[in-house]
Amino acid sequence: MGKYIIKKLIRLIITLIVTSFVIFLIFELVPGDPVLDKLGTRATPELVEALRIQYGLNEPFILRYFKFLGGIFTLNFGTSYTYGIPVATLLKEKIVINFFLSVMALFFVVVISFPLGIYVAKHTGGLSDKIISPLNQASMSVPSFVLGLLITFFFGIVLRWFKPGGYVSYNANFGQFLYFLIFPAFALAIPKIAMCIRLLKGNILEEATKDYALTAYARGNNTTGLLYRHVLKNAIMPTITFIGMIAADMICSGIVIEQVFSIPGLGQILISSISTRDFPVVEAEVMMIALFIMLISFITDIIHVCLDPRVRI
Amino acid sequence: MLTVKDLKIEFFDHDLPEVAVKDVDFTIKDGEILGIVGESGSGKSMTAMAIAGLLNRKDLTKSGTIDLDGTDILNSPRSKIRQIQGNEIGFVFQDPLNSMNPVLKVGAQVEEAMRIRKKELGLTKEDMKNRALEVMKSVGLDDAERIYESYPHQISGGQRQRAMIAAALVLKPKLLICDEPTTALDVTVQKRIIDVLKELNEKTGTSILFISHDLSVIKALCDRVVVMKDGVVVEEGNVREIFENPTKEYTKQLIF
Repeated sequence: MGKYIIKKLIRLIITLIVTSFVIFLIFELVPGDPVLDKLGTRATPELVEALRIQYGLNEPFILRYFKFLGGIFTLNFGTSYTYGIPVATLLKEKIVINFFLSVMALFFVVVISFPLGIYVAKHTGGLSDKIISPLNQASMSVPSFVLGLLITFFFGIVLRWFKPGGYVSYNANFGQFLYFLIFPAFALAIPKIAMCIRLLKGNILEEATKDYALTAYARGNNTTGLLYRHVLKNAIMPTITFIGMIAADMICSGIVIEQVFSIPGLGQILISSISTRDFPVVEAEVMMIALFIMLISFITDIIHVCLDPRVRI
Repeated sequence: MLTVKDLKIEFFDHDLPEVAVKDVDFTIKDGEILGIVGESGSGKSMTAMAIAGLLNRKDLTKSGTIDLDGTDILNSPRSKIRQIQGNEIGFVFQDPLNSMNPVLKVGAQVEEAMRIRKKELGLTKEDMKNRALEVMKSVGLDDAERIYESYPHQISGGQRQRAMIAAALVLKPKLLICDEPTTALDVTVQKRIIDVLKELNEKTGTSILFISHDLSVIKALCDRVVVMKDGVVVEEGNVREIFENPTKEYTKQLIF
């Protein structure tokens, strides 16, 4: 097991390096010059040259890439062209916000979809199934940001459970910060919950028709014993893989959701820094998203090994 | 011990009733090995499933009786059938790989019939393990301790089928039903599994219902044989007599 984790970690670092190169290369190739963008109409050849030297853009590509790569491991991404402050300082708070938002949404997905999926599978064709299935279909087809608007309207304006746009920084009050995030997290989670319920239900029903389930019946198991002891462990694995993919998607969907709820997260700064060609910020941010996704897939791999003895380690 | 009378099973395919099995009568005596032989679609597996109480699907209608020492398996509620399954009737399926749960250790699957009745039987974890190892050794798994801790994919096909037989025998059932238990195995392993079943029958007097499409296997193992075709019994009798003197055209075709 330990060996497997180390092997996976090494692979993760290699992926990280390859990804960092691709990201750096892309922003090297996209049209637009950060220096000209910043100077605008004030640009003279001397000023441009001076700023290039200040940003280190006069150095060769490979050298700048290695600086960037080193920066990833030391969390030093250089200075923002636009704001003039270190990128790490600029992004720190925003990453914390998006991290909590994604983790909370994932938490909702897991604690809601697993019990409901199992329940619906157990009572297929029953009343609960007849209610939940169409509801599922509907929530799957509504995008998160629409749900965000509905939640803001219903819980924010009608019920007054939270103040729309009243984001509280986690430095100011951590409890209130988490409370505020509950609503956008739900907006993020609802479509994914619906997908997970459907996937889990389908997998449980499929596993229950397999030969080993019949064998378990032939030993005198009842439906509950069959479900929890035999079927669930097999049926849950595709759902875990799927949740891994959802986690990756959470960060990106979160960028839209935070706009709906006026949360100063990664999204706003990502968009503004792309339009101003503030490459250190964009690169750091994209790198962070990539890292998060890699970590999630690393965790799902580990869970798979724990659950499925057939996975070779 | 087991009497099947007027067994009829129909299933509904797009609302049209289709007869899978009809007018099936036979008995299994204590300590007897009865074979059912027939080609695919002859209803032999359906009959076996009915005896094991595994036909509680809603798209089926069943009539007749299956009497196991006074209990009508066909018409009893599921709660009653559950007490018989794994306890008085053991079932071995065709494909040992698919009929084992891939994520549970072999040992856990062998002792499952005990675990389900742990409270009634008053068994501890150790009792169950000891019994599981004992029965695994009795079916020729000499390496029982290792196999107990292995997962199904880590052992060979022959070992898997032995483990499945052990799992079916763990509570010393009166009747062991084997539904083509050797079909998915290669010939040498097949022979060893047959030997295990023969030895079991001789030593413990467990009755065996053996289903196969392979007459040579039936000939090697069974005392009596029931020949089925298209859901009905074509011929029934002593294995030797039927082989030497088949009266029905279909049986002759099967033999030659």
